[in-house]
Amino acid sequence: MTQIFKKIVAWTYETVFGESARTVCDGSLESQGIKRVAAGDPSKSVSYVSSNFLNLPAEVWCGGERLTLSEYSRFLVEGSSMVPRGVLSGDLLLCKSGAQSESRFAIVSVDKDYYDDKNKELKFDFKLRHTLLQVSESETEEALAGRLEKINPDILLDENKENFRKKYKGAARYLDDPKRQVFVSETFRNGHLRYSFNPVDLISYSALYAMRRMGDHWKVINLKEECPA
Amino acid sequence: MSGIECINLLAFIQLLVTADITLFFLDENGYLAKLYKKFIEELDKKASGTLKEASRSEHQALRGLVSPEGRKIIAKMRRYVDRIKFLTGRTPDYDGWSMLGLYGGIYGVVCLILIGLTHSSLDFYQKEFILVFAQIVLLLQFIIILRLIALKSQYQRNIVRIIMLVTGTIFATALIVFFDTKFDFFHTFENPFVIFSVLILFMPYIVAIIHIAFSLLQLKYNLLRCRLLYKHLYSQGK
Repeated sequence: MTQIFKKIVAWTYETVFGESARTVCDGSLESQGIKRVAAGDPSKSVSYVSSNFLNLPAEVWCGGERLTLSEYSRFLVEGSSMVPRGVLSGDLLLCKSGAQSESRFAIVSVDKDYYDDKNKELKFDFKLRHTLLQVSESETEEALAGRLEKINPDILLDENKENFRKKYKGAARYLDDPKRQVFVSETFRNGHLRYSFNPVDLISYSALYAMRRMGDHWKVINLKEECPA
Repeated sequence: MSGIECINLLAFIQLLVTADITLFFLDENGYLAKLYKKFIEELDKKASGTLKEASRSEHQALRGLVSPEGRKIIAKMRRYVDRIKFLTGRTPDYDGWSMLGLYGGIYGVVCLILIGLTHSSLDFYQKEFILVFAQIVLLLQFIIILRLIALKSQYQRNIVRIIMLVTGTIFATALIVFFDTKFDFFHTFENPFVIFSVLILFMPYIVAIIHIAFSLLQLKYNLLRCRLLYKHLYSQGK
């Protein structure tokens, strides 16, 4: 009943308001070499409040470490799916290419075929995920759940178990392909945990630091240290 | 409707204009944006103590200091903690609110024009006032739309939608007015219609108040559940 009500509300909102509008033109982002990453569903638009990226400093400090921004790929986070893991919408991520062992925040290229199959139009090329572990070859659902439980106890909850089971089944196209390694990650929808399975080869970058505008200065968060799992 | 009521109605319209424009031009330095940020900061402060307690328990759980039953309690706590963090860290949908103001304004104004044009029981001067002010509001709404067009951002889809909605609403209005002139039907449901129009005019405020109240309730609930679980965990001696 609640689901039907939610669907009616969502449908009404979409019909009346259309897609979420955006406050700023983001042409300035491209000129700064900043790409956008979806923290949430990459087929949905999200709105954010503009931070002034035109006055980005060339260097920032993070706990005694000097970071030169030009040495990193920069991504603007759009969406609130990583808020429970400390990355907010509007944060600027400083990233290195490929999967880095020091960070669990992965910038994953969106699998276009997957969204084509679901008949969804993509709004983003990248999505942000918090990686948990890599799936071993022919690892069963139970074994994988057991390993996840050792990382953190979230999987002990019935709703998470159910979501994990559903996602594991949905990821068969990746898991059955012996050429592809798959990783399990987590994301949050309205603050509720959702598991996600993605191939390792789709990890384009790893986020090492997050820059957050605090009035007229930038707060730099070390994601390598603050990673909880 | 008495003269005083009519003036109140006009005051509502003026409030709406202020709300629309303020909401639309909201940015990080906007007064309402600052106020909303303060609200989020307050939520954050309310939550910080509980979050610290939960974080301490979680670290112990991950080090294996708690029983299997305790780990399940920790999992439940983590669920509430994630929810609290989401409630205190999400970015408000300013765009959604500003669009809400815009739509509310357009619908509300069309409703008022309808009151002015039809065979309502209001006297001539009151109807004149309503019509004049409704037109001013409408003009301001169009200025907002022009600004949206000038931005040339991803608003464009919404603009098409706005134009379609406004055109549709004007056609519907014309039909109702035609129906009323033919059958003199309007005065029978005038008062509910005025109330309905005012409610639409106030929609941005109503939504904001409901949103804030709902956020506070959600936070209170999650904090309470989290604290209860924390006590339960410690009463079990972990």
